Order: sequence, then structure tokens, then C-alpha cells
Amino acid sequence: MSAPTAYVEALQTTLAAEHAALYVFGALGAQTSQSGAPTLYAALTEAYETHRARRDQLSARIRDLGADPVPAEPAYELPRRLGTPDAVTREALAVERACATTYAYLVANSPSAERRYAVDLLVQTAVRELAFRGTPETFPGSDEHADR
Amino acid sequence: MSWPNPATTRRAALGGALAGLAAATGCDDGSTPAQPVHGATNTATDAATDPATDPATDPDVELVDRVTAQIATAASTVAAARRDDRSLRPVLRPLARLHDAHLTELSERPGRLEVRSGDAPRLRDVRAAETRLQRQLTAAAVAAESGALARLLGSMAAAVAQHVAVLP
Repeated sequence: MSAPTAYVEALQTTLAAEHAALYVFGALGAQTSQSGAPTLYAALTEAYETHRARRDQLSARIRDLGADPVPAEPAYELPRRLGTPDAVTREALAVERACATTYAYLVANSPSAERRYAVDLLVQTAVRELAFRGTPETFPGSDEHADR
Repeated sequence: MSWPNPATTRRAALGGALAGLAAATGCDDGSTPAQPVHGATNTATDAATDPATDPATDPDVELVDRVTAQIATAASTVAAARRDDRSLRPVLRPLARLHDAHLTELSERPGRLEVRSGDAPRLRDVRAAETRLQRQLTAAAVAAESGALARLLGSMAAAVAQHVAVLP
């Protein structure tokens, strides 16, 4: 199957972001008490599972297009202060917002026939931000539009 | 309903979308997404000279017009609900602002909104209208020729989804 190189590259970039998100959410979950902060723990667990599923979907798509999925890095830099639920929540929100930006990029670089998948990812991530005290935005994933 | 000059609107919408994409960034994993390649043009500079952004030939002009009308329809429902039910005014203020911002992005200045007449919309009517709008924006993002415009419309769909999710 032949796909535009830019689309494959965009998928690879998105997969790299998912690798990072998965790593960070794993660390955030490890810093969160299931009994002490059950709501946050549940949100982190759901986010982790969702990003893991997306990683697998993206890897499969890339393979289907005849490319090798970009591997995860051995480790990713984590924020230094994650000792409180507030700090964990802030970081989780930052990760989701960063991923929304990447999904928006994937939307722009997807051929029309493949684009719905990218839009759905963007929409789902934007809604997931709300679980981490995010507030509705005007242009999720496209902040530069809000700034003009 | 009063909307800006269509030619100005169309050119501004497509040029604006392209300008916005120039600032695209990626996840905080150190990767930096490249510029878009799908669609007729890639940069704001191109938008000023590329025939693809000429309202007479740009394949996305009709799409932008249609989306503008769809947002206006949803905005009209919100405006009517706020007009007829004082308790909904603060609840729906963020949605009203969202529609205004989206219309401004597509047309550079908001038009005077024609508030729908008839029975007063209830919150469930607003939710239904917004859910419909989200689907329409998603479909428009898929249909757009320009990757930059697709990105803008996808972002708008995501914004509507967020606002619907926090409705009481």
C-alpha cells in the first residue's frame, strides 16, 4: 500500500508522542494513591489505557502502510515535583494538551480518507483534558488561532 | 442574518487557517512536526498569492460558507435559549462566546446574529444543536481540501465537544 510520505511521517510523530505520553502517565499513576485520590487515580488509569490503545493502533497503521513504527525511547524526562495530586493533575493536563496539538497536526497532514481518525483522536483528547481540571477551550490543539 | 462580504470572508478564512498552521507544534517529547503538505497551500505567504486561495477557484470556499452557516444556526439556538430563559444566560455564555470566536476566525468579524424565533429552546435543544454542530464540523474537517483548514475545523469540533461535556 502506498501512502504519502508526509502522512506516514505524521503518524510516526504522533506515535512518538504516544510513547512519551504513555511513559509519563505510567509515572503519574505511580505517584498517585489509589485510596487517597481515587478519582485522580481512575482518570490516570483510563488515560494510560487509552494512550496504550492508541499507541497500538498507530503502530498497526504504520505497519499497514509498509513502514516500521518508531520505537519508544528508553526513558523520558519527567517533571521534578510530582509529590502532590495537584502537581500530578497539572502534568496530566499538560500531557493531554500537548497530545491534542499533535493530533491537530495529524489532522492537517492526513489525506481526507484517513482524516476522521485523526479528528476523533483530537476530539477525544480535548474532552479528556476536562478530567484533569481542564476548562473548555476555543481552539484545542490550535492555540495560535486563539492568540490572533 | 448579516454576514461580512463573502469574498473577504472566504479569503480571510482560508488565509487565516494557513497562517495559524505555521505555528504548529508537537507533543512535548522533543519532536517537532513538520509543516502541512496536504491541501493547496502551505504557508500564510502562499495564501496571499496562490490561486488556490482565490475565492473564485478555491475548492474550500463553499465548505467555509456552509460551516459558517452551521455555526450560525447553533449560535442562534443558544441565543434564543439565553433570551428566553434567564437562568440559562450564565450557563450558555461560554458557548455563545465560542461560536462568536469561531465565526470571527472564519470571517474576521462576527455577523449580527439572527436569533431564532418560535418555541424557546431548552437546554436539551442546545445540547442537540451542539452535538449536531460537532458532527458537522468533523465532517467538514474530513472534507476540506486544505490540511490547514481541516486542522482548524477539527479544533473547532473538539472545542464544541468540550463545551457540550460541561453542560449541566
